[in-house]
Amino acid sequence: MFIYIDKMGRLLTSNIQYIIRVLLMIYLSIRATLLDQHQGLRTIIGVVSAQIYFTGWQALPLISVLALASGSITILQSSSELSLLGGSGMIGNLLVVIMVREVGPLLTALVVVARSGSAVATEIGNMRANREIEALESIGINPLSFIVFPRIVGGVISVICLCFYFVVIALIGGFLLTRIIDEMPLNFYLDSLVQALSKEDFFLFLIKTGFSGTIIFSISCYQGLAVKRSHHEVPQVTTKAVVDSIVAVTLFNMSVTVLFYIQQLIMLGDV
Amino acid sequence: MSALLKSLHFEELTFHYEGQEPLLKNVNFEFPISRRGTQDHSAPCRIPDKRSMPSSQVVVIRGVQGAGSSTLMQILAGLQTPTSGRYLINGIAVENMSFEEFLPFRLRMGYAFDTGGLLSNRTLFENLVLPLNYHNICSPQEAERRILALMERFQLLNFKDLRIAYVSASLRKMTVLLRSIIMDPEILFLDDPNIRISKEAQHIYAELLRELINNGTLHAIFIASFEESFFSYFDYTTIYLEERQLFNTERSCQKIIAISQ
Repeated sequence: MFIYIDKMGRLLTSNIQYIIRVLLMIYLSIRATLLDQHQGLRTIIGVVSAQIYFTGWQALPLISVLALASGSITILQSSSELSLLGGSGMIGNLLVVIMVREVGPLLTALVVVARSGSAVATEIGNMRANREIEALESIGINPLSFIVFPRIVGGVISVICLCFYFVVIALIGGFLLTRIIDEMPLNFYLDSLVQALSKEDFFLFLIKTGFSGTIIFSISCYQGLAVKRSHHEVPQVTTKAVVDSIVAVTLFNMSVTVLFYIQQLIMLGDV
Repeated sequence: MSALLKSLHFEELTFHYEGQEPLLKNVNFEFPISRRGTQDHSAPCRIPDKRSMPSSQVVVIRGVQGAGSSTLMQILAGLQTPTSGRYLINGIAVENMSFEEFLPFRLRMGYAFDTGGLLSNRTLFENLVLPLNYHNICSPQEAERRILALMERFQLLNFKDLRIAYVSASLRKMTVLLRSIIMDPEILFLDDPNIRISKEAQHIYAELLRELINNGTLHAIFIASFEESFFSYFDYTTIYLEERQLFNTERSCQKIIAISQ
């Protein structure tokens, strides 16, 4: 019994330490960027735009396929079920809840973890093993401001933009695809969507995507920097970065949703 | 030494990598080296008939393979933090300095790694020009002119637009050596400078270092190496790294508690 309590305690402590170390890295990278007298905006924008290109632009084909598939499937399923129940007018509400609040942010984050989180962890891990990080330090360039900060910023911008793109393609592209077999009028569909969208949806969307981007790229950078000296550590930290990012992003999205609905219930006076 | 980098000082310094035996244990060391009081034991290997700087300004660190001379160089350059003990530059403890506080010292140090140390996503030219442009040492045009002149001198011009994966190990090593002096350092740390580069290139590089010394910009060079082919271009003081300690003469000699007394 005590052994299990002891193990759980150790697990909890190590996870809290891990979170604190990642948060410390974020703080230090922001501090280093603000204190760095030499690193101009041009240098940061260069790395940020490269990150947006690799994370955002190059992921568009994959996101398009996923968005079209998930959008059309959700629209088809929900429209047929809602028609049977006589609630076709609720399709907008259902799609906003599913796509804008839940599936869009989570699926986009998972795609970014798989494509870019792993790439960032591998890249930084290899830089560490090739002594590129030490080389930057030796020429007076702080790796936290030169490597970590622009990747987190670029990653956050990419995730927000990608998720917005995902939602648009899923809702509009998905609808156009379903027109092949379902004859729902476009005006009716768009009206239903516009009426369903509220400021809470934008708030949730921004919270989920912004923090997911921060979580993914912070963990990936942290794991990459955790490589000590050897190339054989790189695949290990990459796997850890991917697994930790997936767990963290999923838990975060779930927690935000739960907190949001508790808050809604409190506002309605049910709790 | 110059106005900025006046002294380097170890106090009971110990260093070990995680989970490994200590490479350095309770080491005391001071630079500039003064031979006062150690004449009987220190006999620097002077190579006659060399145009040279005072030998106390060129320090060769020698030790058996794996003794930790590269690590010692990295500690001296502030790239590794000692596990215990103190490293003082101008009397200020390095371990208490933030990256920003250490930066003025860092910018006056040049470091050439034994292997690796170039950014793989940049060309040879971009690797060389990065420190100059990043720290606004000179205008981008002037930086380009300086780098191209240097690359021409070392016959690297044909490879300037190639990334490091596409050039030979000798060209990479030469680029690392050139980058170490690109910001006109006061102290230069060269880790195995002679491996992978030709005698001719070594000679040209040594000539370049002499020019920097004569210009008054370069004040001291630390060289970690087994072979004499490079450091024989200079008069030098040798210190030996053996059994986790620094010695001023070869094998079983008197341990240097403080080289300068």
